[in-house]
Parts: sequence; structure tokens; C-alpha cells
Amino acid sequence: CQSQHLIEPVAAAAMSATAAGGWVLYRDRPDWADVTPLKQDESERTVLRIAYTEKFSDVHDYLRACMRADERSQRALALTADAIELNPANYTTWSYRRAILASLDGDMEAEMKLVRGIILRNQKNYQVWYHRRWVATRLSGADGTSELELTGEVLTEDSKNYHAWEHRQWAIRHFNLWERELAYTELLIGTDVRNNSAWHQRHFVLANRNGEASGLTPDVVAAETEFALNWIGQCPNNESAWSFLRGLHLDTGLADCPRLLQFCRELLATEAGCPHLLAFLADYRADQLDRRCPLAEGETRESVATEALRLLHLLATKADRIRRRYWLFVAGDLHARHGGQMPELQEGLVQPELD
Amino acid sequence: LTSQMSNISAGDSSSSDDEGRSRRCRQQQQLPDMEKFSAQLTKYCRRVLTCLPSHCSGYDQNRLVFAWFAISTMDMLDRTQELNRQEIIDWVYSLQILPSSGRPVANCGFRGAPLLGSPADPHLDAENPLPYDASHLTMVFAGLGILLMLGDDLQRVDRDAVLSGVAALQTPAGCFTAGKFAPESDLRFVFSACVSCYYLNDFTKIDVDRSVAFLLACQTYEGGFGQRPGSEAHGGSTFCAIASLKLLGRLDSALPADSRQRSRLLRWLCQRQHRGFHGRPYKDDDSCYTFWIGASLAALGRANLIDRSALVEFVFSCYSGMDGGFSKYPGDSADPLHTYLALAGLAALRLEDERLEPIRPEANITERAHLHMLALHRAAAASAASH
Repeated sequence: CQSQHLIEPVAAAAMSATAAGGWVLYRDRPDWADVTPLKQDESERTVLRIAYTEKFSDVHDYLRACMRADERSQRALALTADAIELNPANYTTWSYRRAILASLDGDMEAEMKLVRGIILRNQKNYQVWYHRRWVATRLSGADGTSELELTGEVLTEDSKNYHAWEHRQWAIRHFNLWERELAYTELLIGTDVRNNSAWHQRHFVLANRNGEASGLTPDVVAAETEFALNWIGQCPNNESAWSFLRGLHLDTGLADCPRLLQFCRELLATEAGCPHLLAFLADYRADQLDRRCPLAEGETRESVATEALRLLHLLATKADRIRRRYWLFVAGDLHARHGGQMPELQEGLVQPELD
Repeated sequence: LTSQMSNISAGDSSSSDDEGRSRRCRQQQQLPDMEKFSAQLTKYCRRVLTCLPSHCSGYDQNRLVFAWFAISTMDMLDRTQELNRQEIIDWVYSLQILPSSGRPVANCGFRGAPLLGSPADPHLDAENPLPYDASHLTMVFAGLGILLMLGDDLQRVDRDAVLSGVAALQTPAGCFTAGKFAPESDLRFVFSACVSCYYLNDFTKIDVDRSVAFLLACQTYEGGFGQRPGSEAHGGSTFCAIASLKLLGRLDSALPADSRQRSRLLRWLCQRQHRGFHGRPYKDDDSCYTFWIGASLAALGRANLIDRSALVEFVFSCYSGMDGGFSKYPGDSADPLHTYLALAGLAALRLEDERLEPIRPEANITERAHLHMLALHRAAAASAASH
């Protein structure tokens, strides 16, 4: 969920305790005696109170005071680290920390290490990934490989972490790290053929590595088509691979690649119940009709439309029943545009209305 | 909920099961009748609105949104009259960030909580603005939404400042950052910006064309929309894209009804049903996608294409009578976000019309509150015309 970080329990961590052993409240620290803590201005009847711990309130009372004065000092920096441990989702604390780092010309190497630790403990937190980008762009001599390492580490634990993938894309663009990413996606696909994020990343690299010009040249499309068909052959019931295959042919149209029809027909012999195969074949036929492509000998527009309708009907009634209303809708739409013979509907199935 | 629903078996998920989850699933098999269900939910929402335990301290900056989840849930149950509405309205207004000589309109709008130490009186606050205090787009949306739901007339909203604050957060690419000190930018904030302008009936300060261009750049080869151009198609961002386009009045021009872009989008959305909905292929069904995917389909006029009984069965398998709310997965504990989104999804799809006030999907608000909003717009237009 996008708001997952909001429901994680407060991170417990060793912090900048001044005494040996236990935590000392800021109000009891002599080096903070000059600061008057600032409480939230709330009545007892305020809406949606939170039962903060004493430690949480104390740290934030001092943080509020420092932020009001906009103090830019080492002790304020340490205070923000404590506040971040208690609530890493607080974006203002992160902003204030960046302001302090900028003023103090902070140690970006040290900051990278700190952020890495926080990321590994809060992998779905938006603020911490933004901060990482901020530091990475200010670290002299950075070449981005540490970003690939970090995201690689996170993705090993959770191969679909959305933040990690976005950060990885940012690093690839910013540091020009396109070269080895295709191999990385292939590694992940080999580990889990249904890792949709890995397939998506592969498309991202292919489409964007040539800068403004689309990377999906005819040669690339041909090679990647074989790549996709190989994985589909090994595991046909895989939406991600079929989507990727479609994605290669979005601009040109499926029917421009007869290889696809040939492959699908062969696969039908053993995988007649695979919904993605049936849908793809129906899409291929629909593309032939939509773009008025020349047809094979013995085929007519009517026969092609009839075949497409038969496939859609099969999806609705047997192969993909959860989506029966959707497939019947698609069939009705195709029939309205291109004709063909509609298979008889079983009792109980209702053709959804087209608007 | 009918008696047919009261003995549903616990939903399963496509991933491997936890011991604990299985146990709780078995405990949840009895669903209460509607009156009891409504009472349990209301009790949960009122508890959320009163006080949350310390392990929810991570919500600290977003309290206004969590209040919005709870109030919106009660609005669907038509029970907001049981709340101390004026107290809540006053609290929302205490979170408004007003302009002054020391505070530019660019920082104005709403904050999620007074956690920087701002005075509860917004006029006093404006005279002595705090350095790191600025509006957050999601809080603008949540604040205005709560005011509308509770029947407020928005007279205390500084419309010009709020709208200027929204506009100030638009990026050159057409996206929006969350706030001056919250520099993340993605489709969540495009939606928050659009719905805030919609509630106030004024899109003139933002660059609509640029937003539309950015939105379209987020559609992927799969047909759904990612959070930013290049990002993977995801249920949440797909809702934000569709809703934003619809609120901007550009849905049919940007994604024409007979276009491949629209048909790919529809295919992608319908593919997101396993039993309930999930946000990306091969992720587990999660109750919050009941809204992100369900409301997307409803906004496109295609709510009728899903398998309703499988969805409802999954959603109610995420209900915990013990907690009085909905969880992400069957067997987990309830939270305010999933409680709202599970129900709002059903309400947007019009699957529980006899029990839940319907939701206007792209505006993410009940039809009742939406009507109130329209009445305010009409009154404002009439007042402007007579001057």
C-alpha cells in the first residue's frame, strides 16, 4: 500500500544517549538548558489525539523549538536524527535536516551511511528515498553504483518494492547506468518469471536507453520478441511476459509480426486453456481487422472475426470466468465493429450493455 | 449485508499463508447483520477520532488524513450527525495556513497537524509564521473534504490563498510536489491538486494542459498508470490519473472512448481481479484496491464488468468484528485506511446501495457531500452574478 509506512510501529533503536546505558530526556540534558521546549498548541478535546510516549514528546518539543529558531548546528543535526528514528515519515524533519547539512557543509559520506541504515529499516518510506537522492547528487565522485547496490539489496528482500525500482530508474538516468540493467532484469526474471516489476524495468531500459529516440527499433523488437516467447514457452500462464510481448508491438501492431501468430497456434496444441494465450490470439485477430491487414489464403474478415469471437467466448465461459463480463463486453464490441458469428451464450450469462 | 453473506468462508490469498492469518481467518467467518456492522464500524471510527495509541505516532504529521478516513467511513454509514461536528470543523480550520506579510500565498493551504507548534488560532499563526510551516496538498484535499462532509459552508476558507498555494506546487513538467518542505512529486499530488480545485470549483490557477501531458506520460505499455513517467503501472496511481483527468474535464479527449489507450487501460483494470483486487500483476489481493481499481472502473462507467460476488466476498473476509474495521489482508488487524478504502470501493461500485451512501468515484466523496458542494458552487455563482 502506498501509505504502508504510516502504519509501521515506532522504530526502536539505540539513539544518541548521552549517559552510559539509558536514554536521557532532552529536558534533562545540560547542553540543552538554554532552549525552551515548544509544545503543540492543542486543547484536551482536540481531534484524533495520539498517546505519544514521553520520549517522543520530549524529542519533538525540542525539535519544534529548534525549527522555530531555525538553529543550524551540530546538536540540532543530532536532534533531527533522533526525531527521524522516532518518526521517519515526518517530511519536515527531513527538510530541516537538509537545511542544516547545507549550512554546515555536512559530511555526505556519513550521511549516505546513515540513510542506507534507515532505508533498510524503513523500506517503504517515501521521505527517506528522497533524502537518499538528495545526498547522492551532492556526494562528490559518486558514480551511482552504490545506488544500484542499495536497491539491489532491497529488491533481494522484496523484489517488487516500488520505491526501490523508482530510485533505481532515477540512478540509471542520472548516472547513465543503462549498460548492465538488461542483464539485471534477466537475472530477476530467471529467479521469478512472474516478477512484473522486472519485466517492466526491461521495457523501461529498452525504450529509454537511446535518449529521445525510442529504443524499440525493429532489431530490438525482433530480439526481445524471441526473449519473451522463450519465457512464455517455459511458463505460458504469465501475464507479465505476455504484456511485455504486447508492449514491444504497441506502435506497429501485433499483425505486423506473423511470427506471433505462428507461435501462438503451436502453443495452442498443449495450452488450449491458457487465458493469456487465448486473449493474445483474439487481440491478434482484432488487430488484423482494425487495421484492415491482408489476410491469409482461405481467410475472410468474417472468418477472422468469428474466430476472435470464439476465443473471447471461450475465455468468458471456461478459461477466465472471473472476467466473463469483461470478455463478453469485448466480444460485443468486436462484433459491432467487424461482424462475425457470435457463439450462443449459455443460460445465466448476460451480455453486458454497451453504451 | 444479507444473511447469505453471514456465513462466508474466509477469503484466501494467492500467497503462502501465515499461521496467525489462518487462525484469524477461521475466527472471522461469522459476519454480523447490518445494524451490528454499522455499530461496530462507528465505534471503531469514533475511537480513531478520539485517540490513537503510541504505536501510531508515525501518523503524527497526517492526522488530518486519518480523521478524513474515519469521518468518510461514517459519512457512508450516514452517521456523521453522531459526531461533534462543530468541534471537528473548528479543528480543521485551526489547521488552515493563512497568508500575511510574513507568509506568501505560495505556502498557504492546510497542514496535517499542528506539530510544528503553530498556534491554534490561524490569524495569530499568520502574524508569526514558523519557518518550516507550509501547506501539504493531501491535507488541502482532506481538510476541504471533511468540511464538505460535515456540511460546512467553506466561508472561513481563504479560497484565493488555498488555490494559489496549490498552483505554487505545480512543477514545470506538469506534476505537483506535495508541499514546499515535502519535495516528493508524483500522481498522488496531481490528484490532490485537482480534487482540491474541484471542491473549490476553480481550475484557473493551475496549468491544466501541462498536467494532462504529465498524466498521459505516466501510462505504461501495460495500460495502467505509474506514479511518474517510466514507473510501473500501479492501482493507486491509475486511480489518480483517471480521477484527475475526469475532474479536469479531459478524460474523453485525453483517452478517447474508442482509442487503444482506453481499451488497454480497461483491460489492465479488469485483469486486477483475482478474487478481490490487487495493484499490480502477481501481487496479493489487498482490500484498499477495492477503491483504487473499483473507483477507476466506476469513473470509466465500467463498474458492471467485474465479478461482484467474488469481490464482496473478499472484502468482507478482511473485516474484523473484533476490531470493528477492515484490514489489508484477511486475518490482519484493521486500520483506518483500509477500513475506508474497502467500503468506499464498494460504494463507488454501487454494490451496497441499500447500506452505504454511494461515492462519487473521481471526487472521492459521498454523493451527499458532493450535492452539498454543488449547492455551494451554485450559491457562489449566484452571489457573483448579483455583484
